[in-house]
Amino acid sequence: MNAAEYKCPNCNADLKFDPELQKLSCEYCLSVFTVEEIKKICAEAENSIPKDSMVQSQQEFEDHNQLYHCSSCGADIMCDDRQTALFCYYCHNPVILSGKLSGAYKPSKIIGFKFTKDLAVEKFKNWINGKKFVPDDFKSEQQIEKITGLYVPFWIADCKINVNFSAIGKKIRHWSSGSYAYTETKEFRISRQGTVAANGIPADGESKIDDLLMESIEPFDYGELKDFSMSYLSGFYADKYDVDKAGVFPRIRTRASEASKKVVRDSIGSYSSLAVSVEQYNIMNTDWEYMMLPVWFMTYRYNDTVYEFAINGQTGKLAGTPPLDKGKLKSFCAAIGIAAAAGLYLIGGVIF
Amino acid sequence: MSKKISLLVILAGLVTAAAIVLSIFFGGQKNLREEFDGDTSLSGIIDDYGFYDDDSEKFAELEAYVRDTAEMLEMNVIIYLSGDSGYYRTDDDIDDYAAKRYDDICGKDTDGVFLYLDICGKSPAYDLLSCSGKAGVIYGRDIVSIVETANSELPPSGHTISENQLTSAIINFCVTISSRYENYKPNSFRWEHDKYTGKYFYYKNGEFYVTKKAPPVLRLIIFAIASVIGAVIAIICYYAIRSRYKFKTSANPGIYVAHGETHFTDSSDTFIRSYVTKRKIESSSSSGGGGGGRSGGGGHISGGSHR
Repeated sequence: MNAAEYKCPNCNADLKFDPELQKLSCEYCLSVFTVEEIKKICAEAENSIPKDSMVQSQQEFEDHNQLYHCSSCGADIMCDDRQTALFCYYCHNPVILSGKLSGAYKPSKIIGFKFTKDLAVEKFKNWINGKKFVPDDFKSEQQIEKITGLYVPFWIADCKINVNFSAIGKKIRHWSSGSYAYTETKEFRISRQGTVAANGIPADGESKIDDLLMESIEPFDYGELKDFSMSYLSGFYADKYDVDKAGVFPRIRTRASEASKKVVRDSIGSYSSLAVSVEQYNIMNTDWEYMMLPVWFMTYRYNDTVYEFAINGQTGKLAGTPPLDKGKLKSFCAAIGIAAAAGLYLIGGVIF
Repeated sequence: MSKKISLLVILAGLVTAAAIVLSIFFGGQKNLREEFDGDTSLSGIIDDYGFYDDDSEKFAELEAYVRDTAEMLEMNVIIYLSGDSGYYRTDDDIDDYAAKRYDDICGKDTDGVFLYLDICGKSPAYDLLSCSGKAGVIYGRDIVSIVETANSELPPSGHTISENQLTSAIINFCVTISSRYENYKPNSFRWEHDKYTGKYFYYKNGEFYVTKKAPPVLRLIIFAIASVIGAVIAIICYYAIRSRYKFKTSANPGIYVAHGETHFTDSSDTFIRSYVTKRKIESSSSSGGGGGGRSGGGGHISGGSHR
């Protein structure tokens, strides 16, 4: 298989995807190309790959990826065939080359990184600055350098939800006249039946990454979805999914039901109380798409707990649990307590 | 590193606490007490009313009894019989007068009692016991009952007091204070405070103290309360800050709803019925009362009783 599609047409060096420019760039001759330009150049070049090379076939996908396995945490890391993964993005232990991925793991779409590493680092530093009780080494440059650009495998579901909702709503009004207080209660039968459409509900297909963490950096702008190409992976890591459609469906169902519930509840006016008799949300049709979404990812191991941090590689939205240095916090609180006690003792001494 | 800081802070806290406790119990404080020198000549009965003018023998006998009591109690005992020639004294005036008169006779912060018996005919009559020095601690909390024991021998105000009644009242008073003195055991957990002079009266290790600083036990109590409040503040602080180090999720699946493709085949709010209930508004009222106060002279604990 020819690798010309990843080479700079000017100097033949490797091209890497630049999130800031949203283009493929050459580090040596500083040339930049859009994905479309590269497609065109490659199509016109002699002995080049076919026209639709950037929209790779499953076979090409199998040929152009490397799969690394972390023997420490079990993560599988996918890179293009010119990149070498030296450490696991998750636990930072060395990884070993384990072979190729089958074409079945090939995503259909991808959103390229838009938020650069510098911006991600800056965002992370701003976030961490307000947190005084994190361990000192958590703020170190060495730790921050571990922020890794990672394409996370996502299952995206479009679904229709059949809604059946019945309730009795009460509107209550109070007033007083003379020496009596009056309460007027009006009862309404509320009915909502129909179909709610929810499009693009994402669920990550990586069991090692916390689902809530991934949900917290949503949403992604699907308007910037592109057909998958290995060229987007240049300079970044990628995960292969280890949770299939059936595995993520319960999450999709829960999220679709929550979305439908919100639509139904929003459609109901203001009632003093609501007695729900029927509330059913049944998913009727689900269309799936498997895609890679960009995430700046970092882990930090502290007191045998792995803390995960993620920044949406497209929008820059950050989520994570800051590690707490309990010793530092206890010292601070003890100092506050001692100061308060000393102050109170002195005030007490003045009063008595 | 943080463990070392924790240990240092905790160590500093413990050292501070130990220093405070040591200063409480062993810190020097000036004892303002004027110890009783055994001179009972200052004790006796001041008969401004002239009740015993016609019976000097009885008066001398009573005064000797009072001085014997003073010798036994190792404190001054003065019984004042108010005259009718003076101006009208309110309860507060009596309080101030008793304290001032005692200080004039025996000196400030000396150990002693001053019983003011209001026999000039004022109605209602107000009898008062003013205590100075250790008497404040020994009798401070029983002052009213001691006065009542004395004036229980006297008729209600407006009635003529006989010599026997007054003599019984004086003897009864001396017996009562002697009895209470004998039964009193010095207690470090008991003290009296005169808010006008700011002085504290208390026993410590069996010795009586009059000081401007609070007694060790009171300071220990303040220290304990301050420590508990400090600990509570520290704990609240700890949990409040810790809660900020929890994961905060902000996922909202509602953003994935395609409103253009959402259709309700039935979206109705149908009125069923309405009803009105009424209840009578209950009116409520409340009332409160006021309290009384106490005043005293220099370093005195006093209290009185009306007849």
